[in-house]
Amino acid sequence: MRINHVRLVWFRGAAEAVELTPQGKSLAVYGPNGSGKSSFIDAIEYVIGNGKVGHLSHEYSGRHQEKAIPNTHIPDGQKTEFWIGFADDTELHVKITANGNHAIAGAEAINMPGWNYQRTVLRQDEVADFIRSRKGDKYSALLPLFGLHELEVAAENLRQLARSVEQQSKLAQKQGALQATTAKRQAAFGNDTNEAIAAGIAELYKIYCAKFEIAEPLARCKELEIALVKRIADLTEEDQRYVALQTLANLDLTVSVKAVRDANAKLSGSVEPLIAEKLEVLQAAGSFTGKLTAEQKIDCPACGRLILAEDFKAHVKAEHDRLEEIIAVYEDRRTAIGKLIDDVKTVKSTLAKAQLEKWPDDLKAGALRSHIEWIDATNPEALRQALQEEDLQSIEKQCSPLVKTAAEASQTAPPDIKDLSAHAGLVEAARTVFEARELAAEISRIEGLIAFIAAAEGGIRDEIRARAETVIKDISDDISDMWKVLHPGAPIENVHLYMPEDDKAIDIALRFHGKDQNSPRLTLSEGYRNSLGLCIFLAMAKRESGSDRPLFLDDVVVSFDRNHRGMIVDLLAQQFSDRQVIVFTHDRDWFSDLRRQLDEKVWGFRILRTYETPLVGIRWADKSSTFDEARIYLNDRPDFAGNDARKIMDIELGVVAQRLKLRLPYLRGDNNDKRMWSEFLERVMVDGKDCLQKKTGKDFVRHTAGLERLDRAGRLLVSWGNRSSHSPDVVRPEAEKLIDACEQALDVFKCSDCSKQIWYADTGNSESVQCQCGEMRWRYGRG
Amino acid sequence: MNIDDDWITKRIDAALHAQPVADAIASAIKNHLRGAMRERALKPAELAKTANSLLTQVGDPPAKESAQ
Repeated sequence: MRINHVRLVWFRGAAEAVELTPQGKSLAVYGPNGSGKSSFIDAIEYVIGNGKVGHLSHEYSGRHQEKAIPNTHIPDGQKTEFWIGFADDTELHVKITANGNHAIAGAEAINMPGWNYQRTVLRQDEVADFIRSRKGDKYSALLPLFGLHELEVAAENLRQLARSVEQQSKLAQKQGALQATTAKRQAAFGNDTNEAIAAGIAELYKIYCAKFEIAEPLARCKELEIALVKRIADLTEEDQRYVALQTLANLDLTVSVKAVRDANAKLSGSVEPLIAEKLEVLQAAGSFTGKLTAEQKIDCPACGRLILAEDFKAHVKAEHDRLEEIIAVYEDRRTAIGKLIDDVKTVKSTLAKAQLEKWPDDLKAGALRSHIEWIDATNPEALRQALQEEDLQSIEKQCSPLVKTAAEASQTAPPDIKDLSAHAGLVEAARTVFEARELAAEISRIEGLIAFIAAAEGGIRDEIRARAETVIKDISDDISDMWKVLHPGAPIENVHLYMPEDDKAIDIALRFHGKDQNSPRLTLSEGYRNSLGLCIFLAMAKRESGSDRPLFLDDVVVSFDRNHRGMIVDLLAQQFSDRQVIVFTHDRDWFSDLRRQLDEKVWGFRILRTYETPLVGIRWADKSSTFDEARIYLNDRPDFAGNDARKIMDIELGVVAQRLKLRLPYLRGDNNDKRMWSEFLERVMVDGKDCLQKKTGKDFVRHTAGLERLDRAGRLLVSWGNRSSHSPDVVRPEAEKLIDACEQALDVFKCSDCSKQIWYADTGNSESVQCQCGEMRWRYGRG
Repeated sequence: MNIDDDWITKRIDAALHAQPVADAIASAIKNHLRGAMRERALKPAELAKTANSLLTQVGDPPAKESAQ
């Protein structure tokens, strides 16, 4: 739906009502920097962005941008509001309260808040940002424009759900526990199968459990453990002593210490400070995100770009998830330390048992005295809290000889006692093995659930890719066509979007002087990159041409050279003739191009006056020529006004010379681009005697009146130059006369009958150009 | 692109083919895809609640591929 008007009242730069009135047509608006052009686009974005304007989202604008949206000098009792009128005569009205809250009413059928901002508004900085962004960011920016946002949301939610299942189920810990069990099984049973272990348990069950009633291996283990405890309790003191010694002998402290060292190696010195630092940052970021609303935009502290708070939260969470993996390594280390400390506690508690009452005293009398004293003085729980490498060395040095001595002492145990102790160890290990089967089955079920969710996500991603590639192909064709219009004959070809192999990425490829390049950032200049970004966004916008929504372009040609700015005019005329386009520019040169080349039936042209004060606000110039801007200064600074007119002639006559293919002497370096009005005008005057013609009857004759107007402007410009350089006291009538003469001189090239420029149409023989009605012509090369 | 019921059923059946899970789990994911899961990024608390709900059903027998 086309727009008829946008009326602002105390909104951004506006004071009392100021109205942009395209009346359903396309419109080019020229305004010097700070004249208030962007205020109109901010109003459009405000509606689409549900009360937010992207470039105003910063720490100083307030929670609801209430410090940035209203005019800074809004008088008491006045309200900030705006209206947007549509071609169907409906009108949308936005009221904004002092605290930034807003209410939108009217034009419900248009559903403007549901428009896609990126297909409606393009600002210069957004073009540059897009090209500079990473391929993942391009994917995020473009996917909604492809209409695939819903699929992407579903796929991303499934991915996050899979991660959540992993976390909620404590899968990593379960896998760690299973791994520890596997190590224990390996130590006790080698590569024996479950069946072999169960058979071994069955044999022991026959020996120790007379009833022999249970068949299930895990239950047998549990009954066996009870039977073995009872059997040991019934032993003589001497035999119980042997069992206790055997318990010590069975400890493998070397393995336990090594496990801790291995875990420590994983968490080498550089990782720990990094994690501590990251956790600190993430905690602060997490606390910060808690204060943000979902739709709020913030400057990302990492990349500096404006992003949705929701995206930032997701990023913080993703970082936290990554740390979770490292935390799992910490868990492994904690488990290894736990096992070692349990071993130390076993040493300490076993030595304290009544069955070994005298043995430690015997050892104290010998070479192991210091070892016994160390274990007596050691608090294993304190070691668990802060286990250092020197502690590991102490454990190895002090405990290992005790275990070794116990093993030697237990060698003299009767065979049945040795067996009893060994069997107790085997039964305990077997119980762990059979219990682990349950754990393994649970892990398998959890992994199955995660795999199912991942398969669903993968299916959606396959579909996103397939659909995106189809859309990308269509858009790439448009991009390529537009690029050719902007850069005819340039050695940069085959410009197209593509999806790299990795998921969630889109980038731009091209052929540069015959060599394929995977990114425009490799070779293209800033101007070419911005030109490419413009092509991409215009190609995307073109896909919505059926909707007949307006397209707003805000200063998108800033980094373009004069030639390519002209090409954009061609592009708009060729590709967007059926679309309402509202162009804002501070480039007077380009505005002149637009005004001369675009069809006035389809396009309107307006000029904003220089901004004076917030209470005066945004104002339109009375007429639409750039000379009106010069006239603004007539009262206060006539010297400014006259000089402005001279600058306009430098630009405008340069355009005329280019269009009429005037042959000017070559100048070294960039002097070609710095020519003054005088060079152009002199050439036009000389060539014009034979080339500038107007029809009289059926014949073309020299356009004498036109040449006289050009001559008059030239003489006044020379006079102005002499006068202003010698005397600053110029008066208004002189400046006014100069401006009028310059305006009339440029009007020479515009047909008074059809209002078209003299270069509007090629006559077909490549020898001349003419206006639309053919009343005026310029013959090439006759001068 | 709209995610309609047919599309969801097709996707979940394909996922079931790759990795069978309990009927209740497949149905739950389908229901989520019909709701908020396709509309907006789910909050961590919502994800955790859904995950816990699914985990209570991981021990159930696998669904048939064509199950709705």
